[in-house]
Amino acid sequence: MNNYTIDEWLEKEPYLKKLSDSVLFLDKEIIDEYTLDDSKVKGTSTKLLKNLISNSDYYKYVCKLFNDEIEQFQCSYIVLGDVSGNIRLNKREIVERLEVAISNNYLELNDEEMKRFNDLKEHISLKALNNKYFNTLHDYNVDNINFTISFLDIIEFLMEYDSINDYDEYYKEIKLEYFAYGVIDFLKKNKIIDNYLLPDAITNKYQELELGDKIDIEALNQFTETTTSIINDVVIDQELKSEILVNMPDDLSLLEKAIYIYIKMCKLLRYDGEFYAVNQKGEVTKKHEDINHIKNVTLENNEIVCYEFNAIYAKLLSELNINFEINSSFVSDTYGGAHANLLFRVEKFLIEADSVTSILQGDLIRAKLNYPLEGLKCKNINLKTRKEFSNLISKIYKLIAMGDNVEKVEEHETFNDILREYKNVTENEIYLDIDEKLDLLMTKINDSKLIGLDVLSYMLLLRKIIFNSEERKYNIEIAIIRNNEFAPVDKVAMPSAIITINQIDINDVVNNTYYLYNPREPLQYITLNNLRKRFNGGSFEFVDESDKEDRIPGIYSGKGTK
Amino acid sequence: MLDKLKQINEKLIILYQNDEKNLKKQLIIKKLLEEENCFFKIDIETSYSILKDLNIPDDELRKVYQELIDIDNLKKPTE
Repeated sequence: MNNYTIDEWLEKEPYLKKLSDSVLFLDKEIIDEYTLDDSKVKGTSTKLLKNLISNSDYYKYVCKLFNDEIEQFQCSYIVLGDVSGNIRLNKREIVERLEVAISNNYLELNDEEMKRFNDLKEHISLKALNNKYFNTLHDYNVDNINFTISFLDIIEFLMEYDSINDYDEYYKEIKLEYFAYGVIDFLKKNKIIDNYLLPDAITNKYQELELGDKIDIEALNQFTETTTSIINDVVIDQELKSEILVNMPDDLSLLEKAIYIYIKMCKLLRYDGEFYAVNQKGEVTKKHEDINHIKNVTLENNEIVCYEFNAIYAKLLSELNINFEINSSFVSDTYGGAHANLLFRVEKFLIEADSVTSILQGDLIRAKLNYPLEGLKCKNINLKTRKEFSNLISKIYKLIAMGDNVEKVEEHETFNDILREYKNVTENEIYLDIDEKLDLLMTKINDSKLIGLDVLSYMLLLRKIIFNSEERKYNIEIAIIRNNEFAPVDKVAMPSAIITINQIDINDVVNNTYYLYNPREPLQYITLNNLRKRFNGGSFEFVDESDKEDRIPGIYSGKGTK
Repeated sequence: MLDKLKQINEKLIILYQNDEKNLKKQLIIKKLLEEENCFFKIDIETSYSILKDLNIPDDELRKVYQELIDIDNLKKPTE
């Protein structure tokens, strides 16, 4: 271990020597003493506070700070050539904590030390702030609009903040949110809160402004343009586009139109079942990674994947002059190859659109059932903004539902409350045995005319409403698998389902009954041996390797497994 | 089918105007039926219970329920 002194370290390492211009290096024992000091003011040792004023080495750095030669006061120790144990203070913290220590008699200062303290305090007083900035003007550019505000305007704004309403559109003839942006920027850029002793009235207003509770400025200067050129090549089938936009009222706001289009797209398009069955890998993906394929997406041939949804949605947003960004797992701006969603902004709203948060239970399914959406989100921190957005979604959802002759789109929480209320008042006691439930499920699956992933999603939905949690654990399981054997000639694979049933316990595989479901065909009974042969032979595969252990008892798990 | 249930519900509301307990139950059912896909959000036992409270005979419960959870009817105009 190299036990150099501080001076030896500074001699040895040029970067430490340079750093010593702005950092006061002390022995570790001294830093530890400050850290472990029982007497502290707001986390700062009173011994350190005393030394800041009385010790000339410390005071030198304090003066550097107050003369704006350094950004903060920092003392540290050196260990193995690295800087550690950092204690940092800004101007306001130094003066405020000294003031508390003095007024509570934690410190006694002599006349010279008291003078130093008073000088520091004067240096960051409100009067000093005023003297420095009194006649200054400050220029800003927000959302490509230039404007200028004076220091006096800023102070006036902070003093009048309580009486400003969020529905006031302008302040001193500048858009309110732009003005607020300018005020925050001025305070932050010049470190006013850190460097001056301000009345609580002003500090509190700054904190409120920053939180954006009253005036939401989070979206300003974001998405001022669209930088990707990917959508230039996107061609949307005209019939599909017409069906998306038909009945969209002209008097909807821009955001309402963006929401309308998203919901209509989720209702009209489906996730590609083959793509799902191959776990989004292999040759099947190539078709989707060609952006020219989008023109082949029609009302009849409506199977898409996430980045195709994004591309179509982005194209329609761009036609409304809404700027956006495609957010992909890939770093580059390439099309396809990884999950992608869309980010865009309309006025103060920052929005994320992801129609495939989950393949089987995302908005591509939810919108068809008028379930609350989960993929269209407002990203603003401001709760009021998020609530406004949520209300707009409800409004547009209902508007579209009325066009589908649906009377109401349910608010999920309210519906559960009503359901609970019903269960409290009804006197019926209904019991359905497992055989009856299984028979009902089989009947519904065989009778369904759905195709592709829709029927598999329907199956999972039925499992949830027909069987209770115990039954879902012990009596029935549904696994979606990749079927390489019965895929149509133009497909590599297709999604199928294996249904496992047992009146007692599906983990007792010897007594299980298995059914194979292929879309467009009736359910077929299949033996466990036959299933195992097909898995071993490669005719069947799990879509997701992590499914192996749980989803088909008897295949890699359960009693009786080889 | 959902429209038929709503009609039955409305008739029962009128019938039970002087029967607070049953009236309350029917008004709750009315709120539940306002969502066309409500039966996809309710477990089967509760759905059967609702149908019984709407005076659907026991031997028709399964047939009616099957129709209610038929996803093929999702976008068609209601009866």
